[in-house]
Amino acid sequence: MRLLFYIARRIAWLFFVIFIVVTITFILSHVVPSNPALIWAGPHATKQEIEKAIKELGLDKPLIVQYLIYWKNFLTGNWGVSIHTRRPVIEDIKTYLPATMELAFFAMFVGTTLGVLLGLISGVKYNSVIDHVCRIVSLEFIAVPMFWLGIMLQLVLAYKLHLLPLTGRYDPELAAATGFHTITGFVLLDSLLEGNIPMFIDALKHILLPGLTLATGPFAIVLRVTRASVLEVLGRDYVRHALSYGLPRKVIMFKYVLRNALSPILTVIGLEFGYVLSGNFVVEEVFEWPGLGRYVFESILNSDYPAILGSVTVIAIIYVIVNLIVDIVYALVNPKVRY
Amino acid sequence: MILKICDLRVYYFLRDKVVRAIDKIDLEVPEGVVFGIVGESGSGKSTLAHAIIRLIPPPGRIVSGSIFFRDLDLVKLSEKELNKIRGNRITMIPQDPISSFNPTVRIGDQLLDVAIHKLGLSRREAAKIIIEKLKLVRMPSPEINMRKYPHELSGGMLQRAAIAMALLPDPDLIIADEPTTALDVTIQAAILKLIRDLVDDLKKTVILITHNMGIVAETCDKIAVMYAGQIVELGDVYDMLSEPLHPYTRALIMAVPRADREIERLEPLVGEPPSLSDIPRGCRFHPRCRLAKPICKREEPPLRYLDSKRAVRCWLYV
Repeated sequence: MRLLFYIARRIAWLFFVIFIVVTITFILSHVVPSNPALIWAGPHATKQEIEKAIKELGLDKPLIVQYLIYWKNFLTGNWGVSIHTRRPVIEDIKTYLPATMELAFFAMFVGTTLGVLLGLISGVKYNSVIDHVCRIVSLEFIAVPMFWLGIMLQLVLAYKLHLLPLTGRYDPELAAATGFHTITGFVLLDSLLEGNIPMFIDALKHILLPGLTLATGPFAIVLRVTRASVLEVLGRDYVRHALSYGLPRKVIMFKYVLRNALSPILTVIGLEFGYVLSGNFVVEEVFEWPGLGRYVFESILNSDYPAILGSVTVIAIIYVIVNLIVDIVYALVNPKVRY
Repeated sequence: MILKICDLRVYYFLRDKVVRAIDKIDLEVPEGVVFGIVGESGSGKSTLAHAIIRLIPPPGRIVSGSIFFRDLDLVKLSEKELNKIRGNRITMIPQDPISSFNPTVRIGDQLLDVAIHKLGLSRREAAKIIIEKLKLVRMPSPEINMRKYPHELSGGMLQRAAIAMALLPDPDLIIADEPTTALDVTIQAAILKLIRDLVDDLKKTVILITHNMGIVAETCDKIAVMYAGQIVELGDVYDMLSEPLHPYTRALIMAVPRADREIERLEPLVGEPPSLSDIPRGCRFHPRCRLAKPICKREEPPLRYLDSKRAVRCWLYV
């Protein structure tokens, strides 16, 4: 019961945050120095055409009315038309978002799984060789810029050794040959559900380099936080008590140590998700990954403000939802949080 | 004898010094008694408890000696063999029950961990035995409280659960490390009664570690008094309390307020125990001893048996 109340409270909070996000994007759209009507009308527009654009965009109405219209449009999915693709923004987002999410989830999954496991080992084997190696590697990963790492991986693994594809999301020829057709937009998921194994392997090969590049950030941070948290928990009385009962090592490590070390780890996982979403902008550019990052990049170059605002809103909402999930897991793991 | 400790030394190797937490301890614990180990904080009594199940945190180490549990030398066993003793034949009752339970797991599940992993029981059998043991330690409504998290129960209830856990594997020896220190005074008596019952009704052997002479008088059959990592006196509790021999034991008893006798002032023990990394030459107690003789400053007294039960480490009795 308490848990349900807690979740209800967190969801109410989620709606509040989304309200703020939409309001902020509205304000942003009105303080940007470039005149949207001018861009909308094009470079050689006449005065009349510009005035027509102002009317079409509703820029002549009072601010509060514009704000309410903005909300109505937001809720009905009418997010405007992208200036550079000339398609509805919401359609563009539907096209590009799954690729980005696939890459982000892949990176988060790989980064946090490895980070937590190696962090746990690092903490338990404090001051051992493996601990030192983990610390140095994680430090390197934090220090190295992502675009450089991406290019280096491409250069060595793809260009020189031909082990993995250089760019892209899958091989279109293979997709045509195997009759692959995506439903959800998640290529890995769809190919697996269809039982199209060659396609799945191909998609996995494609996602490996951008995914690993993107995973370095969460991997390094999660590893360090896990190690510190595990070290702290190892000194607790309940771990000592469990040891005095000679419980199996696996039980002590996961149920007694890791479970209690999890709170700060979950917090950084939530925060790192934001890092991965913004890291996407760079990685998608390097690996020509057809995702939202490249779309936003193009939109910024074209001052395409409906596209930018729509994408930013979606990314913000995803970030908030991920953190809501983190909060719920947090409460599942730690019964004291539920109060 | 259920436990026989010979010449045990546990040292902590710090960067610039060696802390001799336990130094040359000889001890025999007979079966079916509450054996009290008494001492001030820092006397090494908790280290002794952890040494028995070999859970000395690094940089500490058992340097020499043997700990015979029945006919097994625990010092020589491998970790794997030792884990068949820990939580099966020797169990612990912790000092602070509130911090000794995993805060993220229900009490019942923590008891289940012991029953399933240590006794190899099925979930159903384990649950049955757990309820049985919880009733034995007089836990109110065990079925409901099993489903609670540690922070939802009081210290006294948690200590009952911890004692139930200690009883689960039907052990031979239970080590209780200051089991009432973290509890309210009103609950202390109930918990001590429970520990006493383990010996009287269930024929277990309990090693009770405490700094409280009142607890000793109430609960123990035999006691050993520790000072600066050594045993200074041991014997039956009645003899020790009615006629303490070692000046340190005397000082400890004099410092307890009594309701049954007119005492004008309590006699405090002056000074502090020595740092275990800088132990005085000769008798370790001599800087605080009123009766110190020249020899006390030069040579360490041996632990000398006066009869089969009573031993004292003091030059006054040599």
